[in-house]
Amino acid sequence: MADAKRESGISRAAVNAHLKKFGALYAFLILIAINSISNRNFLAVNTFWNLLIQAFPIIITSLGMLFVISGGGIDVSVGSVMAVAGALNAVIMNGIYPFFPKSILFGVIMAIVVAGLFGAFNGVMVSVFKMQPIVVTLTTYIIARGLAQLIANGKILSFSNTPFNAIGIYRLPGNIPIQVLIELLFIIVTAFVLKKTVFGYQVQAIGENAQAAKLCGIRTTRVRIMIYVISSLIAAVAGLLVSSRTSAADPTNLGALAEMDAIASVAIGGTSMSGGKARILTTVISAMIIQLITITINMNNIHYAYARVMKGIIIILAVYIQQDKSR
Amino acid sequence: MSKIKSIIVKQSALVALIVIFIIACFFYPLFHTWTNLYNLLRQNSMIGLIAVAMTMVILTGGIDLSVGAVCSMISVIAAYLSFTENPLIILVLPLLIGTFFGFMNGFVVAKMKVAPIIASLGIQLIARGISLVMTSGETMHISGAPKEWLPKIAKQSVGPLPLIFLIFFIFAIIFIYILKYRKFGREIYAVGGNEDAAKMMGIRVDRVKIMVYSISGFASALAGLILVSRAGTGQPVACNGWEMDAIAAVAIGGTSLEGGSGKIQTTIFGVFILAIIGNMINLQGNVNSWWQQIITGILLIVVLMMQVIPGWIRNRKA
Repeated sequence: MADAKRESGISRAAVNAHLKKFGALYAFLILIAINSISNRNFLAVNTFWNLLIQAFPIIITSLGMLFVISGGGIDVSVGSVMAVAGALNAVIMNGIYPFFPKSILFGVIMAIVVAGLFGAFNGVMVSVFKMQPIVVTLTTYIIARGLAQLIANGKILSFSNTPFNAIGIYRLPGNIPIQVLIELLFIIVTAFVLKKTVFGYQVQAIGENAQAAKLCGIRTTRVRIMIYVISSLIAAVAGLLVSSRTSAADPTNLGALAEMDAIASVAIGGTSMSGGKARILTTVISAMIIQLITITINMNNIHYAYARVMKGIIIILAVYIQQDKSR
Repeated sequence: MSKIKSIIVKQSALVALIVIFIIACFFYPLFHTWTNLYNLLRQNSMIGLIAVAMTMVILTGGIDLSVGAVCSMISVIAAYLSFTENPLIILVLPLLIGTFFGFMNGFVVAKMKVAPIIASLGIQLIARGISLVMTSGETMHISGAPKEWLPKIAKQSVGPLPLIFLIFFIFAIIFIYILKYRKFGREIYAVGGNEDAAKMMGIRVDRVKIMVYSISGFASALAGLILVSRAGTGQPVACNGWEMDAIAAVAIGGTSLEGGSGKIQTTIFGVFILAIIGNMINLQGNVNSWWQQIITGILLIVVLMMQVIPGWIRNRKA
C-alpha cells in the first residue's frame, strides 16, 4: 500500500519534470499538427521560412530578455528601444538631418550606440542606485518611445531600394532568408555565452542569489550593467531588421508590446521570473509558439482578435504547467 | 536641517507635486483657472481609480498589467448592454464582470502560482481580445434611452467638483482607511513584506491576494464605466498603456515595487504629478506631444532619484 503510494508519487513527479522540460516543445508540435491537418499548404517549406522570419523579432528579443530575467531583472523598454533604433537609422539613411552623413553604416552604428546608451542607463540605475528594474525600464520605455517619435517627427519614415532593404528581403541560394541565418547566429552565441562562459554563469548566479554571488566575488554591478546593455543592443538589432523588412520605421507602432512577447516567451520557456537557470532552446521554441498562434489564427480565417485570447490562455496555462510544484 | 532633508525624502512625491504645481501656476496663467483645474480633476479620475487599486496589488508584491484592457473591455460591454435600457444591468453587470476578471487574475496568481506579471499579461490579452471580438475594433455605440442619460453622468457636478472625481475620491478614502485601520489592510502589508511569515502568522495569503486583484478589476471596471460615459461610446482600443501610467504613478509615490511598503496617498500625488506635466505641455501648445513622454520620463527619474540617492550615499559611506 505504502509502496504503491510512493510509486504513484514518483511517477507523478516524473511526469511533472517531463512536462517542465518538454512542455513547450509539445505545445509547439501540437500547434504544428493542428495547422497541418487544417491547412494543407502549411507544410510547405515557405511557410517554415515565413514562420522563422516573422518570429525573428520575438526570438531575438526574447534571447535578450533571457539574459535580463535569468539575471533576476526585467526589461520592459525593449519595444521602445526597437523604435528608437529603427527611427534613428531611417532618419540618418534618408538624410533628414543635414549634420549627419547620409550613410547606412553610420545609421546602423548610431542606432546601436544609442540603444547601448539606453541599456547602460538601465543597468546603472538598477545596479549602482539599486532602483527596481521594472521602474527603471518603465521610464526608459516612456522616454525612448517619446524620443523615437521626436526623431521621426511622429511620421512613418519609409525608404526603398537601399542595400539596407536587402537584409530583410534577400535570400541565399536554396531560398534561405538571411534573417534566418542571423537568427541562428544569435541563438548559438546566446547559448554559448550563457552555458559556456564565466559571464553566463555569473548572470545566472546573480539571478539565483545576488547576495551569495556578490560574496563569491562576482562583480555584480558590472555584470548587471552588461545584462541590460545586451538586452538593448539586441532590441536595436531587432528594430533595425523589422524596419528593413517592412522598408519603413513607424515610431509609434514599431516594437509596440514586443517586450511583452519577449517576457512571455521567456516565461513559457520555463525560466523562473525571479531569475536563475536560463533555458535557451525552450525560450526559442516558445517565441515560435507565440508567432505560430497568430499564424494559425490567420491561416484558418479566424478573427484576428481571437489570437489575443488564445495567447493569453496559452501563456497562463504553459507557465502553470511548468512551474515548480514543490513550492 | 537633517529634519528638513528627511521630510523631503519621505514626502518626495508631495514636494514634487507642490513644486510642479507652483511652476505650472507661475508659467501658465491659464493653468490655475477653475475650468482647467476642473477638467484636470475630471480627466484623471479614471487613471486615479486604477492607480489606487494598483497600489494595493503592488503592496502585496504583485503587479497588474490587465487594468487598461479590462477598462476598455468594460466600456464596450456597458455600451453593448445599453440595449436593455435597464440602468441596473448597464451599471452593475459590467462592474461584476470586471471584478470577475480581477478574481481570475488573483486566482491564477494565488492558487496556480503563476508570476503576477505573466498572469496579468495573460488576462490583458484575453480582455483586449474579447473587446476586439465584440467590436472588430470599431467603437460601439450606445443605443436607446441610455444614449441620453449615460453621457450625462460624466458631465454631472456635485457642488464645485465633478461627480466622477468624487467617485474616485471616495474610492481612495475608503481604501486609505482600510489600509490603515482595518485588519485586511494590515494583512496586505504583511503579505507583501514577507509572504512566508504572513502565512505562519495565520494570514490567508491566497485570499488576500485574490481580494486585491478583484479590487483592481473592480476599479478598472469603474473606470471603464466612466470611460463609456465620457466618450459616449464603447472604446475597444482605448486605455493602451494605462497599466504603465498607473505603475509609474505608484512608483513616483514611493511605493516599493517589491511590496510591503507604500501608501495610497502618495500614489494620488503621483497621479496628479503626471497629470500636471501633461496639462502643462498641452497649455504650452507649440510643443510636440511626444515631448510629453520624454519630459514625463525624465521627471519620473528625478523623483525616483530623490528617493534612492540618500540610501546610496549612506551605503557609500558605510
